[in-house]
Amino acid sequence: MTGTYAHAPGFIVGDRPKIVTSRFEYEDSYTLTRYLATDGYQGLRAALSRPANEVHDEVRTATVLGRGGAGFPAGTKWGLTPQGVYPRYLVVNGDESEPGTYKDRLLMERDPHQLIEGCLIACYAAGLSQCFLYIRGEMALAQERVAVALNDAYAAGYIGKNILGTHFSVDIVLHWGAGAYVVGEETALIESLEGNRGMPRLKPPFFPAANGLYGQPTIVNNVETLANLPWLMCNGAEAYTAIGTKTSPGTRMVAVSGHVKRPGVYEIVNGVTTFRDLLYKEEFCGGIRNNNELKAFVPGGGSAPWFTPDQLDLPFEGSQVGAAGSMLGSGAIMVMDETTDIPAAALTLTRFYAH
Amino acid sequence: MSRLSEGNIRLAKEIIGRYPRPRSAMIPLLHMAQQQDGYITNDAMVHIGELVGSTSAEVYGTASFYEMFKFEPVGKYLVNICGTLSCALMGSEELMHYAEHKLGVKMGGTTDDGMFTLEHAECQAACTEAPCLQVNYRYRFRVTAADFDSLIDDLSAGRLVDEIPAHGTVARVGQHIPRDRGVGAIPPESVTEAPVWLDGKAAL
Ligand SMILES: Cc1cc2nc3c(=O)[nH]c(=O)nc-3n(C[C@H](O)[C@H](O)[C@H](O)COP(=O)(O)O)c2cc1C
Ligand code: FES
Repeated sequence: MTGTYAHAPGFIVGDRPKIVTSRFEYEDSYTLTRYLATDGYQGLRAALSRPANEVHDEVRTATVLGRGGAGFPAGTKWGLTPQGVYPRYLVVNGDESEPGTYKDRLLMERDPHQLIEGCLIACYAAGLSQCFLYIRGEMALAQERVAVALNDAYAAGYIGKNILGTHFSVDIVLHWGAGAYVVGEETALIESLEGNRGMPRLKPPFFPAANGLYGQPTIVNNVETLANLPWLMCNGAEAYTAIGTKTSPGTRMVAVSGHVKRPGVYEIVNGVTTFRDLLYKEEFCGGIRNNNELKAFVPGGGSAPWFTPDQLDLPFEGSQVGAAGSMLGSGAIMVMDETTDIPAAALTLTRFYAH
Repeated sequence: MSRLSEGNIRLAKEIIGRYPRPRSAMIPLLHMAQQQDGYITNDAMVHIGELVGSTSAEVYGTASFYEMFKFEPVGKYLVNICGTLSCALMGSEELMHYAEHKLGVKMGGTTDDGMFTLEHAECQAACTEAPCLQVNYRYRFRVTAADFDSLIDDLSAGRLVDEIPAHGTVARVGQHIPRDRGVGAIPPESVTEAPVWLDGKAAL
């Protein structure tokens, strides 16, 4: 039986660009010591060395697409809060529970300081006064790792009052759920954070950027979205957009599960890597198990319409996948080979959504 | 049974203090009660209501929405086997049947000795390691029948107590915001102006 970690080989194979998984190869990647030894909190320093509005502009220019499912650019979202209404809050969506989706848990377990640094950069840039980091209830290790990271970062002066000796002050509050899939939807997440049943609010008028937590302007961002920000601040928007394509810059984490030889979580290049690359190349999944034929695959999480082998050459680019009738969603690829009973597989997912 | 203990009341007040509205602490406090007693008692819900300013009916209304909260005792070890698509493709159904046979209970049932409760779970965000399960929210990956046997043997013999706490405890470490470092909660009514760092200048 494997231990506490998933040692998926995909993490360190090849020399592809790594924006969010660069520390995953270290056993102690989750510690403050390792983080500081590998450029940790340098993105925060870079951000605080510039006026907040310039930091916001940098994120806008980089077109950091939301990684939680909808793919909405973070810089644009931050700009949707109404002028002059304060306080504004940041709610971090770490509720990861869409079937097949599996990346935020790794980011929290293996590099919690990177996420914390991303939260701080977002709060600085968008003028957010308090941050709530909502972790899925069933993720015990992620909760422990993030708690320790927060405690260490507070003690070292990276969070709280007068961060790095400046007049930038913000608390990050660790919050955790108790099991309910629908809570991952942002308005349900806010309900849950207010101590209620985690049911989605009807929006509008509950568009969180205008009317969110406690009725205040609230930015809800996914864990992976925020984890991109330290690298972006260190390297700049130009370097960020040099990876991937114009409409889909940077990288993204995808989890490939099911009938492939090497299931794993891989950081791929947005807009460039194709499904065929991912499923068949040696540096990724290495083909279908037992060299079977591919029958169907889910390209973007349990709620995405399924693809057949005809769509293998599509790249990870939202509009092309959309035009082909599905969505990239949360970066979950579930692969089914020729032995699969497709109606039975579909039923499994139907049961999930009924649940 | 069973209001929160003195130590937990102190911690509960600290947690409540982090939020702009006390009610936001409801789920964390329910977890605290479950950690203390193994499940959520009526007295604990009354007590939590007193602490956050809600009725016990409101506390129950929230608590009953969430699957992790149990309102009667469950086994010392809650074994949740994932049955969502990626795990189903890799044999979770066989694993569930095996587990039912091994423990002599159906899904949802608890063994007579009170050691194990078996549950069917949905995606646990470990889909590449299918089929997987959690014991009190600690993972086991790519679980075979033989793995399941040794897991149950190890748990029964008390060999995993260091890794897997009894049901009720999820995270064993919590957040502590040092008094001299924390900003404190920012309720809506406390602020109307833009934060000071939005002054158009570099902070550093
Ligand atoms: C049913 C449902 C479940 C969702 N679950 C999650 C989730 O688990 N994690 C997540 O980040 N976003 C989830 N989302 C998307 C969120 O509503 C929201 O768009 C996202 O957190 C915004 O972050 P981003 O802009 O950084 O992607 C879900 C949406 C729906 C409709
Ligand atoms: S489907 Fe079982 S962990 Fe995701």
